Amino acid sequence: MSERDDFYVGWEASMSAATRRFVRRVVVAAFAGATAIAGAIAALQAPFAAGVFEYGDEREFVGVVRETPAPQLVVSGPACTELCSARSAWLLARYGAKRGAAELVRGLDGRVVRLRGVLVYRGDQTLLDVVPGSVQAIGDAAGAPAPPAVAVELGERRLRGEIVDAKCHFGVMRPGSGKTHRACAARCIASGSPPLLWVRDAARGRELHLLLVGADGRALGRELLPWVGEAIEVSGRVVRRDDLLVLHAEPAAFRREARWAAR
Amino acid sequence: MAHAYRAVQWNPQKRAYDATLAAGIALYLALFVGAGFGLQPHATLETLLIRGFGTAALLLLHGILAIGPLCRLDRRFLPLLYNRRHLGVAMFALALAHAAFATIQFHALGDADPLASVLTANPRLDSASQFPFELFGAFALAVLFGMAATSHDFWLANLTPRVWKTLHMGVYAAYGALVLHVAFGALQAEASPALTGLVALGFAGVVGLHLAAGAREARADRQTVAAERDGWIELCHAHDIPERRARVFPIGGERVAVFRFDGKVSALSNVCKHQNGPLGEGRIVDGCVVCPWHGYQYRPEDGRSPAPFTDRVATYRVRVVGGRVWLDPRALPPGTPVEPAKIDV
Ligand code: HEM
Ligand code: FES
Repeated sequence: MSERDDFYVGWEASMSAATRRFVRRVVVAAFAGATAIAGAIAALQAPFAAGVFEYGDEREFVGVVRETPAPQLVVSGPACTELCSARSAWLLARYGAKRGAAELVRGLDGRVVRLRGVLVYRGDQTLLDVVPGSVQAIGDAAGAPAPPAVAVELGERRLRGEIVDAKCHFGVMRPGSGKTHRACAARCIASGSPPLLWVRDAARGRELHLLLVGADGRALGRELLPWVGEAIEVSGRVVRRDDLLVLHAEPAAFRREARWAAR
Repeated sequence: MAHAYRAVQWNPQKRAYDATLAAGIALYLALFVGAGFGLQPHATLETLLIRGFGTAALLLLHGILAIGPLCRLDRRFLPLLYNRRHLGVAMFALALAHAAFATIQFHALGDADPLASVLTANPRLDSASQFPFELFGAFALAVLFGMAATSHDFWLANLTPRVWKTLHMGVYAAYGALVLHVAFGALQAEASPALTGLVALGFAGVVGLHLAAGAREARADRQTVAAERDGWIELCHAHDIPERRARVFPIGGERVAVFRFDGKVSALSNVCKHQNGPLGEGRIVDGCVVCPWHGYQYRPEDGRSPAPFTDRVATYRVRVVGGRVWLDPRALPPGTPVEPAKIDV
């Protein structure tokens, strides 16, 4: 080795002591750097919203199916006081897939059903992920069919928000909004997960979700894809059906917010 | 038939290298996911894994890109370069895990083919802020795949070093695409300017190291020759060359490595046949020039690798007159024997 000073030859079995010391120092520095960067990035991520997806926790529910404008299950409001609606209209999607529930409840409009599902909720907003094959019509057996939805006209509104899909945004994906989630929201909406306009009032820390339908009340899907996941302005007629807010608007009349504001 | 390429040989150094790499990656992922859950109780494991794999891959890529210039600036980094291929393959595996997880999480189980969905779900090609950043990621992944798949010396020999080297310069295209992937993706969704700062710092580091190494080489290439006579050029005093080492001279656009050993002087092309490593930064060990990058060997007398290997580099005629080294700048065909010049004083 005397003719060698510290020259390193990788295919030899060992390296000189000086080289080894240097390499050790570099490895320690690299590990320290990686540790710092892992911690920094983990800490700097935007806060995750507090949605809940009770994945794996299938439960049985009884309620009345409503097929339009998006599949819903109308259930008695849980622990409800006179301050809230006595009934809740839960949006439905298909458990275990990026899919809507239209096929699972087809032809059951107005019927009482028993089904198995998994809850997804964010604040007071709930979606039920229906287990395929579990829906059974039980007719009047569990009581009289629910009366028609109580519809309250809230008038023409102009709203700023972001189109999200109900299933992801209520808790299946966190985050379930914004640029990086855009493609997923698009896939979900194209596949039948109910499209919502998510409106935030940051100052008061409040948020609203409105089911987006056409001006004539038809379900919307693929035509929303150019608008999903970015800041837009929508004008339309708002109706509350039970506790579900529905926004009747045409995509042709959507407007984009200023370019870099789409956060 | 001679060996077409050098078989991978496992040795304790290589094992230590891989063990260290695996430990580093495991440490990073564990810390990222652990800190993520610790600081963000509503985080999901899927999101933390996608982000952990993606950031680990990008971080490792910065290291891979830094090693080259670091070695030019300080040879003590060379042990990190020897097995750099392993860093590349590990980085590709992390990038693939990230891309596969992201594709499954965001695109699978819907109404469309997930791979088609990656390319089409966001149609906003007309917008800067909304541009589908996934396209940059998919491009980078394709380039990295090509490199990882051909990283073994088997491919180097079969694709020819020139094609191989061109393919592997693609790492810069992949890096550029990944900076855009992150800039148009995560950085649009995240609120903290510090994250943008981290990406910018990494980019500045990679560019800065390359500029520094490039400037050093450019300085070396500006050396002028002392004199010229009858087509021969005078280079330096023989004792200006360290024993069993070389000095590199830029001669007509080529670099020539002039070695001194056992009272003699020999000149070879500076460019290693393996991956263009700088032979003049190598050393003579057991009578052979050893490339500093991966240890290919060449005899100074004829520029040939010792049997069973068959690599050859160009040789040059040299003379020593009054202790001064003179070189005939016309390269001889690779492997041409040239009697080493005896140092006369
Ligand atoms: C088909 C290929 C790819 C797809 C579909 C893809 C998808 C994504 C998505 C959806 C995000 C945002 C995730 C989030 O913020 O929750 C992201 C971020 C990121 N990607 Fe990729 N990616 C791909 C390729 C790559 C490659 C090859 C790398 C290599 C290093 C990479 C590195 C990153 C990094 C560092 C981030 C930022 C951290 C993060 O948010 O995850 N991506 N990618
Ligand atoms: S470049 Fe690999 S051994 Fe010379």
